[in-house]
Amino acid sequence: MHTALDPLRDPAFVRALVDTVAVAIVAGAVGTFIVLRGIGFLGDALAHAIFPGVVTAFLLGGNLLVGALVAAFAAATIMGLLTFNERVRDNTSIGVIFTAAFALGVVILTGHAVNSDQLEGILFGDALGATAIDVALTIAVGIAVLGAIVGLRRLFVMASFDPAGAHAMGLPVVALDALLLALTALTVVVSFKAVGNILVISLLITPAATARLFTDRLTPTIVLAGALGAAASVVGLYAGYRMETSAGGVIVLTVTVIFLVAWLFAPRHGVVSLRMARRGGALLRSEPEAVAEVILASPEIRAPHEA
Amino acid sequence: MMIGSATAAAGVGTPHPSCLVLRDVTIAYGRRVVLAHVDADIPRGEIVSIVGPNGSGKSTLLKAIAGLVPLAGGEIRLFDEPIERGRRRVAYVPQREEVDWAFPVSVHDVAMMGRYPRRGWLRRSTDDDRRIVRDALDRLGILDLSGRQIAELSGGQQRRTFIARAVAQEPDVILLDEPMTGIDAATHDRILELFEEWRAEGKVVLQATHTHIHGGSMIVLRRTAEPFPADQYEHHAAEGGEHHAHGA
Repeated sequence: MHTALDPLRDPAFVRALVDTVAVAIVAGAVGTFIVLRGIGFLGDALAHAIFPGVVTAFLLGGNLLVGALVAAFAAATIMGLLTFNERVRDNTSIGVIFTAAFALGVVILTGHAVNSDQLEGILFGDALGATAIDVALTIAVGIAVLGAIVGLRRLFVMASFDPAGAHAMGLPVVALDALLLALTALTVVVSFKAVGNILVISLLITPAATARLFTDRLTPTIVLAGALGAAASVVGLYAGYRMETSAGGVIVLTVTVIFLVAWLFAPRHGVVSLRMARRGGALLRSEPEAVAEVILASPEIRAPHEA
Repeated sequence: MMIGSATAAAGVGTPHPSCLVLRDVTIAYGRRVVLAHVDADIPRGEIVSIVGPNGSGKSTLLKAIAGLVPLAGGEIRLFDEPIERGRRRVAYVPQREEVDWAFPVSVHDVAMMGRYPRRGWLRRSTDDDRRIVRDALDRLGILDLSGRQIAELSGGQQRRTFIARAVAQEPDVILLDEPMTGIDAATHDRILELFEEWRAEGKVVLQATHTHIHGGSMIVLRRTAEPFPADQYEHHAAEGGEHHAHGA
């Protein structure tokens, strides 16, 4: 039906494109700090925990974003409180709460006649169904999130890189962690049309993890992560449009393939690249940082094979 | 249950007013009291080694002064104020293991972090900040590594980077957790020289360490389950000043 047309002439496609690319750019920036802070699992948990809020809002006919936000902050708060008992580690409380939250969403859903397409949209995205209001909201929230990340990036860096030293200097490390979680929650919430609450984690983590394989610098990591996510979004949306398949699914698979290729072939940190540099002798030709001079005290042990 | 207790040999009877004061400091993890009843009055220009066997709470005491672990009792004061009010005057150099060395920051970035508390968390860095950071890197002999990513540094260079951050912070109190562990001889010697420079500048330096600085002050921690290692520290306490132990 669509295939004969240039998809860019279809306003629904353009809206989907703008929405998804915006989500990818914001997710790349937020994801860079999630990856650097080492809290990928927490981000994943947050995305799942949003589900009951979205379902409840959906059944009540309320605003899905509000439902998602309430659920995200409730779950993050409970997860944080549980770790006050020293026997419960962060990852344990995350594991307990996010599954429970997801189960709550499932229980709320059962017994209600729900159009499975709509449910699928919540979980896995429905980019082509994005309205102008959805797109505007994504952009507005996205700019706010991006502004916070860019404006506070040095403090986020300091808090993740050396939390103890930062805390000792008086930096509010816990508040910054909470803010990063809130920004993650907002990103997850505005992504639900573009790729859905479950798949968005891939846009948060995978492009940032990929960018880390290419560069050792912060700003290029953020930019590259956003660019990779945006490129995958374009691929996914075209595939979704032309082949009537899940755009969100193709986007996730695309960033995953890029990650795997980078893991193997990234010039500096790729596994195969390092092997090849070793085998090809490139390491032997490059300028060493130091050379050795051996001075032995006992001449008789100098050359055992000559004895 | 294991309780450490402290012997304060730091600056008792000196004419200078106290800069850092520990009063009956007690630290607990959950229900486990790790360290109890630490008292110390430390004047400016004092280099204090916190010594004691593994598990006696050397790092813990340092972290308590840095505000990283809460006190279960007692108080810590800096210039006659609760130390919480003076956090920016306290620099902390963490142990190697506590830092993510693969993090995408340069030597210059790390040293510049020392400037944030002074100029306000959200301000941009000024020419003044850049000059102070340059001087700090120069003082640690790593100005040529300024643009280098920290992942590419040796253990000694990494330690120098963190001490440069502490210098850039222009603190009154410098806390170092095992500063001599895992470094080269040149860095070791440079740190010893810095201790002397800091002494002259009137800074208070506390280091958690296995090897105390000869002639410097000490806080000796011991595990209550073990006898006090009198032979090991007696001669030093005799030359270092008055010496009183607190039972736990």
